Amino acid sequence: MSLLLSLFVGFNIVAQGDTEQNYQNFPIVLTLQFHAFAMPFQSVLSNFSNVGIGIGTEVSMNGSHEWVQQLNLMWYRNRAIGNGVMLYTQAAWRPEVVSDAYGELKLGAGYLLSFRPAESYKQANGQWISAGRKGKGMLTIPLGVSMGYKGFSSDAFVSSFISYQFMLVRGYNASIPLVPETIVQVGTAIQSD
Amino acid sequence: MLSLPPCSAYRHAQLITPCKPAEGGSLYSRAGSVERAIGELINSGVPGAAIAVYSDEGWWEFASGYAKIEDKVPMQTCHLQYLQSVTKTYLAVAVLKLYEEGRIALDSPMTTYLPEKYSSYIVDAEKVTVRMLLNHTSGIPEYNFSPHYVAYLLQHPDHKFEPVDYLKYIKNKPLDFAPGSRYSYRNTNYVILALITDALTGDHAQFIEETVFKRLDLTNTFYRNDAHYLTYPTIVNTYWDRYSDGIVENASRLQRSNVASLVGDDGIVATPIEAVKFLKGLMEGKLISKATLEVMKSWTNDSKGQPRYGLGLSHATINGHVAYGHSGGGIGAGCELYYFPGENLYIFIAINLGTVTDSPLHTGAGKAREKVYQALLD
Repeated sequence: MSLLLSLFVGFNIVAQGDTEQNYQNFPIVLTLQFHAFAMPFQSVLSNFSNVGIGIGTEVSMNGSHEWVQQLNLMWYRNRAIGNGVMLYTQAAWRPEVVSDAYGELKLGAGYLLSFRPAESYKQANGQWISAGRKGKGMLTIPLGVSMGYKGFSSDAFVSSFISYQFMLVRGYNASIPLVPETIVQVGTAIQSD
Repeated sequence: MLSLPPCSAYRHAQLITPCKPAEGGSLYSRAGSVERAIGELINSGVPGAAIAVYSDEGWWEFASGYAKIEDKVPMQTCHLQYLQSVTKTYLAVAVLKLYEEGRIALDSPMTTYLPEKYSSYIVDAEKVTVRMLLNHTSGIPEYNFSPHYVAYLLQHPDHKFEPVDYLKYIKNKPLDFAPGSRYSYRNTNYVILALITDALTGDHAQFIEETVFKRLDLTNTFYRNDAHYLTYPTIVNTYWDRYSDGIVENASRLQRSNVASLVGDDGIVATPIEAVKFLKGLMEGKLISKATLEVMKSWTNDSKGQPRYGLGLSHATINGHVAYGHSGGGIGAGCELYYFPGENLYIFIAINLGTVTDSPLHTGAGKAREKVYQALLD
C-alpha cells in the first residue's frame, strides 16, 4: 500500500516539470507487479490475482532520458503455477510524446527462477522424499510497452509509469519448450540530487 | 476467482481413503512375472499403478505403489482411476447405439444433428460426417493445440470450461486437411460427438449411463451425470512432472478440475476391473450387435498404411500382438485398455503419473511397460 501511495505522491512531484539536463543515471526504480501465465493481452484481469514487487535501476545510453538500459529484480506470488524471481535487463527507447509524458518500448533478456506451486517429490532408493518447491531456472525474453510521466524538481527526479510486459520463457518442460507469461507493472523511478 | 479446495491440507492434493478390494478372483499363472514388472514400473518413478486382467484363467488384479505419496496411501485395485481418452470408446458405443436405433446416420453431415449454435464455430462443418468425427478423419483442428487454452488452464486450475469454450478455441480456423482424406487424432471430434449426443438424447452422460454402465452393471464407473462425480474419496491422487526434471508434484486439483470440464473426449473414472468389464462386454456383443462391432472395427490407416483407428477404437500392435482398445493420457494420469484377440486377453493398466507432457521418468516407465506386456503375452 505504501508503494502505491508513493506512486501517487511521485506523480504530484513530477507535475513540476523541468528539463532533460536534470536526468541522472541510476535512479531507484520500484515496481508493483501483477503476473500471469498467459498469452499477450489475454485474460489480463487474471494478472491482478498474482502480485509481486520489484526493484531496479537504469543508466542512460546517450546522456538523456530517451535511451536507457534497465536492470530489474522482481518477485511475484502465483499460487496456481508457482512463485517466481526474475533478474532481467532491458534496453528501453523512451520517446517523449507530449510535455514530459512519454511512451516506452523495451526489449531484453532475463533469468527466471520459477518455483512449484505445490510440494514436490522424487524417488531415492525406492523411497519418495520431499523435494520442497524446488524451482527451475529459465531464460526469458521480456518485451514491454510503457507509458509514463517524468518530472524534475530542484532536488529530485521522479517518473511514474505503467508497463505491460510479455515474456517468452524458454525450457518450461520438454513438451512445452516456450511458454508465455505477462506482467502488468506500475512503478516509480526516483533520483535525488 | 480462485478458491481453495476444502478437502485437504495440501492445496493441490485430494483426500483419499483406503478401500476394500473385491473378494475372489482366480490365481493367475503369470502373476509373479507381471507383479515384478509392475514393481519395476514403480521403481522407475511412477507413484502408483493398478492392473486388471481377464484371461482364459479368469480375473486377476494387482496394485502397487502409492495412490497418494504425501500420506503414504497404498494404491489399491478398488481405487478409481482416470480413464482419460478411453472415455472416447464409451461415447463411441453410445453413438453406435443411436446408429442401431436409426437415430443417427454415420455418413450424414454432422450439421444434421449438431445445433447451429455449435456448428457455427467450425469451418466447413457441413463437409464433416459423423463417421469422420468417430474415426478422426474430420480435419477439425485440435483445441488442445491452442496456446491460449493451455496457458489459461494452467493459470486457472479451478476454471470450469463449458463445451462451447473448446469450440471457441478453434473458431474460424480452417480444417487441417480435407475431411475424410486422412487420419489425425483430435479431441475436438469427441467434444462435438458429445454435443450431438446431447442434442439427440438430452444428455450424453445419462445416455452412456443407460446404454453402457447399467447394461453391464458397472457400479464403480462414473461420469459427469453422477452427483458425486470426481469427489469420491477413492479417486487416486495424481502427479505431474511439471518441469520434465524427474520431480513430481501433486496435480490432483488441476487434474480433477480439468477432467470435470472435459466432455466426450475424456472424463470417466472407474476401477481397473470395471474398465476391463466394459471392453469385454463390448467385444462380446453385450453393448452393440456383432454387426455394429464390425463397423466399429472398420480401421482407418495411418500415414504408414497401418490400421490405426476405427470408430472410437484403436488398433494397436503391442510386442507383436494385435490389440483393440484405447489409451488415455492426462496431466496427472495415464492408462491403457486393450483386448488381445489372438490371446483372448483383456488388460487395463493405469498409473497416476501424467503422460501428456514428457518426463525423463517416462523412459524407465516405458521399459517397464514393455516388460508388463511381455509378462502378459509372451
